[in-house]
Amino acid sequence: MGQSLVDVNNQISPAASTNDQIEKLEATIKALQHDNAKLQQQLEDSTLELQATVDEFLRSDNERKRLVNDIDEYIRVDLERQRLIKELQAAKRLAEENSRLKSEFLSTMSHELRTPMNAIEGFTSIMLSRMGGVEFNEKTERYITRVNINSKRLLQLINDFLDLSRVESGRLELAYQPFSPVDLAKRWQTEISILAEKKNIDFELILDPHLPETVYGDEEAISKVAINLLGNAIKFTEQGKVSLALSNGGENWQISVTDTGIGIPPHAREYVFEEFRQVDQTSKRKYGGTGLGLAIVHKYTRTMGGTVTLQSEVNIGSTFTVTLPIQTKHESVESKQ
Amino acid sequence: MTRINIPADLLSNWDIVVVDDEPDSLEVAEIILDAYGANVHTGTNGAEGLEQVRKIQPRFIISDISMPVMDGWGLIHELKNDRSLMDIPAIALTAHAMVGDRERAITAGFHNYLTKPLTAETFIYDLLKLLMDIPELAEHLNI
Ligand SMILES: Nc1ncnc2c1ncn2[C@@H]1O[C@H](COP(=O)(O)OP(=O)(O)O)[C@@H](O)[C@H]1O
Ligand SMILES: [Mg+2]
Repeated sequence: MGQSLVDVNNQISPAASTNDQIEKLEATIKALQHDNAKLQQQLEDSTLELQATVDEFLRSDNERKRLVNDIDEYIRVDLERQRLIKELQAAKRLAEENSRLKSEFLSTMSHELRTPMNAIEGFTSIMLSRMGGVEFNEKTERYITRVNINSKRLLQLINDFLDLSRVESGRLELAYQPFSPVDLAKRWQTEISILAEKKNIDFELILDPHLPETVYGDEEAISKVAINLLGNAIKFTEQGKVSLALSNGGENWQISVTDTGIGIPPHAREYVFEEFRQVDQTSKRKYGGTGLGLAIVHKYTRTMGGTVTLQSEVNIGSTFTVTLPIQTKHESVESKQ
Repeated sequence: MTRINIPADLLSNWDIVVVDDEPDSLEVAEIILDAYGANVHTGTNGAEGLEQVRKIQPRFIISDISMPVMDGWGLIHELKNDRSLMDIPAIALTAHAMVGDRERAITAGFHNYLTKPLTAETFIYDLLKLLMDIPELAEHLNI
């Protein structure tokens, strides 16, 4: 629109002839008509353009409205999420509180059960050792021996039961520390060779030279597993040998306990890991025990992120193999309960 | 089997302080230590134990962990912060189940720990093993 339109006043001179004037006027009219058409066109163009702008505006307004809606929705979802988070946090606090109470209950129970048992065991052992100048006849000695043996059994049962409740309630708090698997195995050896000697069974410790010098783990929990397996191996073996082998499996390390004992028949190889289960009734009569040892082995191993397998042949012997992840730094193992 | 080589005068005239809030537990320890010649002095909580330790200056101390008034942690803290008492070896008594207490006991300054129950068959044997690790005591043992 930079071009100026026809200047009517300047184009029509008073001195010109009528024809001239008419021509001029016609020309002017033509020019005007032309301009008008042009204007018309421009107006139409502008109108279209405006329409487009308006359309665009309306479109983007819709867009904006949609955005606003989206934002509203987003805020609503966020509020909902915050509410859910609060609810979950409350539930978590409750669960933590419950688990704390459970753990407190367990530790109180444990203390209350053990205290009188410790006294019974302590005093009967003193009597049997004739300490403090006690005197009694043979019959009394026999009875006190029974009390002493039974108090040991009950204490063992209480300990097993509490070990098991701790792992079942998820309260087995693993204390991860660096330790030497070789040193640990030697400590088990000291404890177990006393039992082996008593039964005239050989005890052998086999150490893989490629064992890591240190691994991270809970020595006490691992010991619980190993001592239970070693105790069983001695208990269910009348002659021959019990061997403890530690080996390195790359990502894992393994504790294998092999005996030359009575073995476990195929049908029993799964259920012996359940609580209070033994191969059969004769086992209880002959060997005593309550059937909690292997349940402890199984649950503690699983809590440490490991596995336990059993190979056995009746009257030939059994091998229990515990595989534990090698951890070289402190990392928590997710409990696979 | 564990008592075989331990002579009855192993701890002859040794002053020992034993601290435990359980009277039965205290008495069991007392009878057994006495059977090996020791002079046993007792306390029923950390504060009483500390008083006995100050008075007697014993060869070593055996202390339970959980006790009223002052527990075993409080006692070991007091002992380790007193120049005249800090060198007296202290042994913690821990319950079977106290996972973590054992490491914690050693970190807190106990020389080592013994696990209950204390019995005539095992107590002296286990104690002897610990005492052999403490040179200033090992040389005075009657073995
Ligand atoms: N090394 C083994 N040799 C033969 N049988 C075994 C062995 N270990 C376990 N068992 C069988 O598995 C059962 C369950 O073992 P466990 O849970 O330790 O209970 P307990 O030793 O109290 O009987 C035992 O009673 C026994 O029948
Ligand atoms: Mg068993």
